[in-house]
Amino acid sequence: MNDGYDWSRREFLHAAGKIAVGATLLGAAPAAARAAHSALLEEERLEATLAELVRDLERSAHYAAAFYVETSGAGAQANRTDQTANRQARAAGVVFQAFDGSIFHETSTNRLDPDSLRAVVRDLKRGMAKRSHPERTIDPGSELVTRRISPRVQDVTHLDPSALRDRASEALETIQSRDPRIRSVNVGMSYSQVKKLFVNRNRRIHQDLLYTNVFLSAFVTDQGATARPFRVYRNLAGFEATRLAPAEYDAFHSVVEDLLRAERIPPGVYDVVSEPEVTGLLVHESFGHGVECDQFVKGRARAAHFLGKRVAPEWVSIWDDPTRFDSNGSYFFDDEGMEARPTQIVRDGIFVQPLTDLFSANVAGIRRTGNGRRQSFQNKAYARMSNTFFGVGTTPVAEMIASLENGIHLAGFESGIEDPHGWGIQFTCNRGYEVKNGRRTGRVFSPVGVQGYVPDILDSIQQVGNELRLHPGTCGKGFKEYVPVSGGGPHLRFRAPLA
Amino acid sequence: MTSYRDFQWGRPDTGDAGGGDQDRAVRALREALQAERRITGWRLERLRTRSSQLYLARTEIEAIRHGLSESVRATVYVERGEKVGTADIELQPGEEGEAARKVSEALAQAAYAEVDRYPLPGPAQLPDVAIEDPDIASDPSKVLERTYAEILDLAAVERDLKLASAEVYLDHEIRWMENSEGLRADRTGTRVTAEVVVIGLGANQSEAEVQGLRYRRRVPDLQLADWIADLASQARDATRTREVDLAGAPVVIVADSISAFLQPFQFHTSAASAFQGAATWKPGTVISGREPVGDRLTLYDDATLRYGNQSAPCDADGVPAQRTLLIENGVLQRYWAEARYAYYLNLKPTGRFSNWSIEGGPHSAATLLAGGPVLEVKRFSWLNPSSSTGNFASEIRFGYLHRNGERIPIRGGSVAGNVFEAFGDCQISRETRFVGDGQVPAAIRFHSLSTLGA
Repeated sequence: MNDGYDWSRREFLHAAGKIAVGATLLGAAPAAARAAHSALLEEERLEATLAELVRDLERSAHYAAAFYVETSGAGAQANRTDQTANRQARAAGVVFQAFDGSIFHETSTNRLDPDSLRAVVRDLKRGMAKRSHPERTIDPGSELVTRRISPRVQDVTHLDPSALRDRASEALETIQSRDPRIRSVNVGMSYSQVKKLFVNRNRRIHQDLLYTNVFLSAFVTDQGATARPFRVYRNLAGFEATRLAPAEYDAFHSVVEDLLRAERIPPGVYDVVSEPEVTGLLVHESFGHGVECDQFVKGRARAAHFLGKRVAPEWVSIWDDPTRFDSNGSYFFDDEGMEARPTQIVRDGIFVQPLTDLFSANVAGIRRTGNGRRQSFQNKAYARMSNTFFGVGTTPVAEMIASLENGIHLAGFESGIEDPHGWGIQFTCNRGYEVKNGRRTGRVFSPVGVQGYVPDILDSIQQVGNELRLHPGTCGKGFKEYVPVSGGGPHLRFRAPLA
Repeated sequence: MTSYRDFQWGRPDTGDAGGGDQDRAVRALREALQAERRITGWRLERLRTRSSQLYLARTEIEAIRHGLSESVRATVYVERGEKVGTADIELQPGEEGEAARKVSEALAQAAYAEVDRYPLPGPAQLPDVAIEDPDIASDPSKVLERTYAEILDLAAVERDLKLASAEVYLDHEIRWMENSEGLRADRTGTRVTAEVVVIGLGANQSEAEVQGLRYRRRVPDLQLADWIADLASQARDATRTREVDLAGAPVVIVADSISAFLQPFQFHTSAASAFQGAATWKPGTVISGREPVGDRLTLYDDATLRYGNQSAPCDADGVPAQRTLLIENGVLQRYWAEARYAYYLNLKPTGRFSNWSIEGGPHSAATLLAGGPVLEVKRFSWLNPSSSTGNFASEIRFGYLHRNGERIPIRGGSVAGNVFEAFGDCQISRETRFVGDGQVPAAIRFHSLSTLGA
């Protein structure tokens, strides 16, 4: 297992060679080893071409960069009628970015031969004019050449997709066999390998990120009641992440029971204890989206007026950290070549730092935090979250539940939407458990919508739990531009309108 | 930053020499597919997309992007008795020489798949479906320039308003398909994505934001003038919202939100869901679960809708576009069925789900807001009903409470309920609107939804 450390080119070639040998010893075709070596040479050639073209672009622009991304993977699905597995074709493309002193110009293509790339850059140069007096300057960063690989125990990229299918079928059988009320089960298992290369005048940064995904869902009926429990697992990990522990299946089935007897919650304002995945929804929609600095530049974020001010009790802290490689939203460098680093957004209840991308940091004059991310080479970069969470406190969850005289224990992630300008939040939880006098009554509500004004909700936080957990998700900006993230934190006790 | 009058509108030609290379890739892949006797069926598709995008931060240009992506894809089918295995192939530009190897790999992968056998659609008469904006097809940079100017001008004439941001994406797609049964189909279409965010200015330096997002095939279908005027009106009104008691008020959902509200219907009217046992409706099912007391829903799946977002001469399998009655007077008539599940259930294939088409009702939209108090929801924060249960709970991002002749702006509060039950007691407007992914009523008034005060 590698832990994602910085590899020199020699180390990388050595490791690639070991993988190739290992593949051969395991009976994989020697062609696989040749393919790995060939891919490496192709990467080198591409890096050299991009570096040449960035230099060329900077004759016509104040700053230029190239970003290459390649995705590949495999997936399997198992349900009552289908048992399938398939490789996802390798897809790759490049986006060139040039700053003329005022505006960013970009062009993207998936034609990667050198002549096509040169033609694209020629046309990009034709379409812009370098300003003699730039409005702003771009810092290209210090010189850096590096190659990083995300951690993995079992490198799933060398496995036959049938291994995923077989693992999915096992999960299907395990779930289906436990409860005759389950009419259908759908299990999806997949991995995607994302390779990125960023080049500017000072930097050549390679990243290899391997995501493994598991999706479980079921359709359950019982005497007219229906339920559709689901569970999503996404990890920066290898094949080892597709084997679910018995406790995971137990948790899945307990949710089935709860959903079958769930009622609709009477709308009202409640005292709430949130499970970490719900805490994650709260932090994501409030102090994640709310502090994306590109919204500050557009006058779209109320949080801009609170920078340096108290937004929560002093026992509240909030972080965004792309360096946690146990979490779905991690990376070594953002898509604009900036090193990933933890950002404390709220310290002791004070809002201290928004999340920035190159554009917003440059225009707003705020420190770059390494949060510039693109959905793909065909999309623009924006300031985006990575792994966003509340800091840990000291109160055990049992104590928090016991403190509820009349409240709701919220669990299960469904969805959420941001409102940076109004600083409202809305998110939906899968379940809410009624608690009276410190004990669950047995009533369950589903779904449960939570809404409110962010400062009010943060101000109502009375207790912060002592265990930190993060949950994977996919984040859209509005209803587009999707990137992998995670959100979480400890259990929280707060007060909010529920419906 | 730069004003648009100073901006130099270039038109990068992103290496659009692809025709020849794509032709070679298609030929190579077709030959490899035809040469492999173990393949019992195949589908081949060529796709080229040119994209032009504009990003505004307030009224200034932040970025402008152009892009080109091309691919040649195939699906292979390998029958083994009553089962068929499938696998996908994709050739990126420059991979024309890889066709035979990729076909060979796909053959191996097809062995992993086990689904019941089904035939591929054959040649058919395909209808002529309008899906292309000729201006985008011929000169997208000019269209971007014009649209940028129009957005700025429309925002500038509105009082008490500022433009926060706007994004406009123009895509031109060329898609060509053939299969082993002799099907040949091609289409050229365009897509427009437009996001406009405005901020209303109220008394005492109050501000309120409204975000609009539209997906269309043509720029004229954005109806920019009416759209921005409506966003501006909402933004100004949103600065003077009041707290009100919404309890018991019927809820009017307007055209822009109706497609999202209907999503569970797509799942439950699906032949695939029926076959997999994931949905329980059968033809003859009363969709609201009980005999409706109000107007009754009549709903079509319509792939022939002019400039519909999902319109096309045929679906991805090659099933010709058609308009299919799914629900009539609140009763399920038939499933929509893609080729595979139509075969399994012995149904006529209708194609993959495309656009909504809903018949208007007997009431004018204006009367649906009368007899208050009535809650008119202009925008939900995110309306996302559960596809299986139909349950939902959504915050009101902005709306009006109509009461005693007054139109009170509100925000916050929420609406919750069950989508299917809701159609058991509703009133449907006579007027319909084109919203990109369908032709839907201008408004529907529901009497069984619950509300939490704003």
